[in-house]
Amino acid sequence: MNDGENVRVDAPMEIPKISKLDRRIAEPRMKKKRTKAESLTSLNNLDDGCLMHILSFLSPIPDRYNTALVCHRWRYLACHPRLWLRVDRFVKDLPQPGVFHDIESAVSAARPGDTILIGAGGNHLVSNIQIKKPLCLVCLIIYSLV
Amino acid sequence: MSESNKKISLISSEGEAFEVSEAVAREFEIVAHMLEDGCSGSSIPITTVDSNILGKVIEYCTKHVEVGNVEGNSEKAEKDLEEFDKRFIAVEMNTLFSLILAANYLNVKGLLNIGCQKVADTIKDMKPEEVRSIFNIENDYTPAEEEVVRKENEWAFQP
Repeated sequence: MNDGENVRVDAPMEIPKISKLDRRIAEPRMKKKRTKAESLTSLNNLDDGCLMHILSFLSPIPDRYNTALVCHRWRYLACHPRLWLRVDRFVKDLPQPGVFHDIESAVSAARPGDTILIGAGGNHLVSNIQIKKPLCLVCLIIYSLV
Repeated sequence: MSESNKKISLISSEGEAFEVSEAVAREFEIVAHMLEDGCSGSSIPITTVDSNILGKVIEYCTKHVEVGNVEGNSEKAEKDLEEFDKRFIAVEMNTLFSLILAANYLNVKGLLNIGCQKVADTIKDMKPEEVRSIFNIENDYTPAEEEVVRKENEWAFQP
């Protein structure tokens, strides 16, 4: 029973870590690296045109779509209708630029080279649709196109 | 031929003059437009670009003009140029951003494209948190907002 009481031993695990850190901070090399990191220009210093140009080199899914999570500005640029149009049958609120309820209206609004994302869920019934410009239709998930 | 031998001075933000051939200066679309608009001056101030970056942009344009002038053996030349571009753009982040900004301002399309491509290649496959830390971007989302965007994006990945 006495053994059980002796189990609680506070191991000073933190001490070696702290001393290591202290030594590193004291090194001038480390200091140099730190100031360099602080003076790194933010990518957000680039203007919208440049940033959008960068995003246009990313594959629409998942890389470009994921960048919306970086910050407000990136979300605005990554989801900008200039980069792609979206077909989402379930958008019920006020019309958003670049979001369409059906494939036909997205295709007619698209400009050559645009990417149209077709969201999951529901059936998209499209007939007699003519595509006269180069477009990239990205069908995200299984859906039926009749 | 006399026209292509004409020299033009490009003046950096520090006031340093870089003498280049007209053919090289014309690679800067902004300069080409000035020349077409009848700007006959032989020195052109590039006030927003510093000497270090301007020198690099000139190096890029000079190489591309040189290769463009060589006739024949185009496949090899193209490969060399690709190699040059790769080496040229392998710079630290701050320089890369400055090159993109300068290429955008001076309208050097090739340089702008390889610069943006390089950044995009770095972003590819990265988590948003990694993008923020590597490119020094402040997260201005509140946790609640971030959750909303995450949810919003889910539609793209849900089966």
